[in-house]
Amino acid sequence: MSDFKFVIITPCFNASKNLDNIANSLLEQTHEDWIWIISDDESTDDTGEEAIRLVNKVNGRACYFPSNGDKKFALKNIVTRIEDAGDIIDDQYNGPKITDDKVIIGVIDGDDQLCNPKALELVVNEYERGSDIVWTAHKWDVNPEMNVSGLLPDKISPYHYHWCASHFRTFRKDLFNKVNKENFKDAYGEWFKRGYDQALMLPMLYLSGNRKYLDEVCYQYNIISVSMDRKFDTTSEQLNVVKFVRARGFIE
Amino acid sequence: MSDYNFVDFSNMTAPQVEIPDSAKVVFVSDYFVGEYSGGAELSNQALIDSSPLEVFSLKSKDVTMELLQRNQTKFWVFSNIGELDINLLPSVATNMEYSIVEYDFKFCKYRSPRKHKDAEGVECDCPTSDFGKLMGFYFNSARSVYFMSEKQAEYVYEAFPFLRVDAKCTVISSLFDQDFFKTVNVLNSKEAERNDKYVVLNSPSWIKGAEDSIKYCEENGLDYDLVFGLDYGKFLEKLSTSKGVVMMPKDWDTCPRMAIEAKLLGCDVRLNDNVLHKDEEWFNTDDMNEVTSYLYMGPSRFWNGVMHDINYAPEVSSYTTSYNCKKSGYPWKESIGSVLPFSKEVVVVDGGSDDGTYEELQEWAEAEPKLKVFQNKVNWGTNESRISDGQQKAMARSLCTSEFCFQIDADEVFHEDDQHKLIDIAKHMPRNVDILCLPVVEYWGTSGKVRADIIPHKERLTRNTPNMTHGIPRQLRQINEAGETYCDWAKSDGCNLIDVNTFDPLPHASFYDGRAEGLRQNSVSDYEQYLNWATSNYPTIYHFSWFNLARKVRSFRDFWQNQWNSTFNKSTDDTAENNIFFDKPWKDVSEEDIAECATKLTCIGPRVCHEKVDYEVDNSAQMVTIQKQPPKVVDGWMKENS
Repeated sequence: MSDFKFVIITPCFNASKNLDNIANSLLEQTHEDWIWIISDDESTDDTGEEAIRLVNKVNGRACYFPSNGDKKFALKNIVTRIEDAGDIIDDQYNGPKITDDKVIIGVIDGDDQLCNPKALELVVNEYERGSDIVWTAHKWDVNPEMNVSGLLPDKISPYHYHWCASHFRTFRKDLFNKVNKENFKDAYGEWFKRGYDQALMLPMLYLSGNRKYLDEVCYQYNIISVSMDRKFDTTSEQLNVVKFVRARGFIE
Repeated sequence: MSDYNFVDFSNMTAPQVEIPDSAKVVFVSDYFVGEYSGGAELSNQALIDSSPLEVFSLKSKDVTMELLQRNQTKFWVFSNIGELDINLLPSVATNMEYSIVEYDFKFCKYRSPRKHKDAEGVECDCPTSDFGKLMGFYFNSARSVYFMSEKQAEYVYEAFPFLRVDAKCTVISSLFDQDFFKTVNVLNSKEAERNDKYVVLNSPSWIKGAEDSIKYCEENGLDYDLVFGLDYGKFLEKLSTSKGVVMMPKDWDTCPRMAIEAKLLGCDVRLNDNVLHKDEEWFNTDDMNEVTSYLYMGPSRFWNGVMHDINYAPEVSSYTTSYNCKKSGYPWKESIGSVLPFSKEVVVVDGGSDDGTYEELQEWAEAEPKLKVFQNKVNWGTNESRISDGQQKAMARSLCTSEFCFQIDADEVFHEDDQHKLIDIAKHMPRNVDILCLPVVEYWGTSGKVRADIIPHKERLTRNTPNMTHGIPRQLRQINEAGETYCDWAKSDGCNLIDVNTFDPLPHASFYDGRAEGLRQNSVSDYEQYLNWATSNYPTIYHFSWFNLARKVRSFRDFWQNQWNSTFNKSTDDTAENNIFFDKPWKDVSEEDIAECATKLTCIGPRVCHEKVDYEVDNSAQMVTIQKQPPKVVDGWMKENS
């Protein structure tokens, strides 16, 4: 039995059609020690009802955070839930306090899903070996051969290397704690609204003492089956954030 | 774009048609009234007659590549183009400013999806065919598109969804001239007695649906008159004395004039669903004033849109970077001041100045809303700053919000005479071009001589495309043992325009071509003539980096020596070997040494200074004189630095 607690965070916006796919992909995991946080961000569909149904479906191993009128966009939504993760774990487990170096955060976007029953097990194994950030290969629903993730050579600054930590993104909470939150904000001090993947991961990849890429396809990125329109509509904004984040570099 | 253009026009024959300079708009159609008086031709004529600008009517078959090139600065309107050489469409879409008046469904090779199905037995798949994609490019590149009816527009949006989100489409309906409204008034005022008959157009054209109209009359017990070939005035008179009109076209008719004419003349109008405008608010009313006023304003809706397109001036964000500009003696204020007049905003990213530059920029920004100042501190001249010069530019660029970007360095000044030229060149920039190189006048020494030892263009005017950033191109990126990224020796300054995801260099267009480079390499005097032509015709940047040579040598001592060595992964130790100007370390170089060096550099002429300067090599012949005076804004700085 691993000492690590796996917290999966799912930021949602109008994701009701897909949440059941995520739930099923978690329920089939060989590593069963996980908590799922579903965090809604002002959805206008029935994401809330579906999330409540799924909390029951996964036997209470999930927490649902409804919208509260404050549109966060994915990055602020995720960061808020990471900061809540300790309390959520304490609520779920009776026992000694779990320290942040034993908490693994994984992100599954509301419109994606895991696609490998051993995904969590493989990732936890890497943390057992000392990694502080682990990402895997992924596939696209439209093309199983499509995988943007890959190896990030040792020492190289992730800001100067092409993007290779797309999905499945996981990291230890104590690594996240070291990141100055200014890294998540734009030149005007506002939280990034798009392109959150690089804004979230680049600072941690930069700080990591032991980063690991797993060349096992664990994650399915849904581009057609769930939310094609939204993903294509935001491509331009995502690239603008990416340009800025990479040009600015790491903020101590 | 004058003599140096993006298309090879060398094999063109003389044009058959001359468009007068005075014509501001070229109106293209297969036919014009006089040759054929169909609905499209009558509507076109109503537009042409109501134009606030001089219009030249050009038949589609007469459009040639040369005609397009010669008249690239005019505004073009394309309506029915069945006789246009389809091979010209890519050039039209890429290079011309134009609107489309769409009478049917040109995304389909039959100009009608229903006709397509009748002919081939399958649903129209043209939008995804090569033909449809070409038409999509043609529609996408138009400044505006005018439709005859809302339903027609919807069907076209289904084929080309990008048109729906572009907000450049307007429904103008069929168009009528002033004489028509006068005639309708006269006929209506007569209050002539009407018979009990319905008019049916007995056109032999299958699409007009004469048979169906007759069938409708018979099934509904309507007495009817078959009419065809009447003079237009007689036809209107006939309508004004008839009870109604029956129109049952076989295929979509986007906005048939006869239905409108009958409506205005008080007829009971019976239409089927193929009359696409029949349920529109302006038409589906008993208030004839509403119908009339809507139609009366049709040409204005069109020309207001065209005038907006003609007067459109793209917005440009300028961006630059700064670091201890005061201490370095750059003309940085002149530089920023030279781009402020034509820019929507000027973004400056300061790299951590400690000489007061940043504070002065902030103070300036408080008084000048267009100036947006940010700071991103860099540990310059160290391992941490190997690629920072490009990254600072990338950050500044990422903060630009306009359709176009203009990049300028703190030692460069834009000429005040070229401000309108820059906006104009942006407006007419071919749509397949994202990066345009512009002439750069690089002074060498205070005599006013200009370098001829380097290529005189730089990537400066760009579309603000989301994938474009600054940095080291992929093939020149290297990684040292410490995992630090650096640039191949002297192959790039690390500031190229590249793709943000792949780091691949991005293609550019330029006024400067192989012929010009041949002149530069083989004949300085011919090159001088060429460069004078180029700087007179194109917006030009004036670069003062090597104007005051002593200042430049000092800037190597204080900044650039270490920064270049860092960029190229060389030692930054202060040694005689690392000092490109002197055979001793910088710590031993005096002001007298620098003054002597500057004098020598003036004498031996221009060179690229990344390696030790060989004072025995005489490049003094590699300089030319530019007749055009430098920007006025930099006069004071030049005097101070002379």
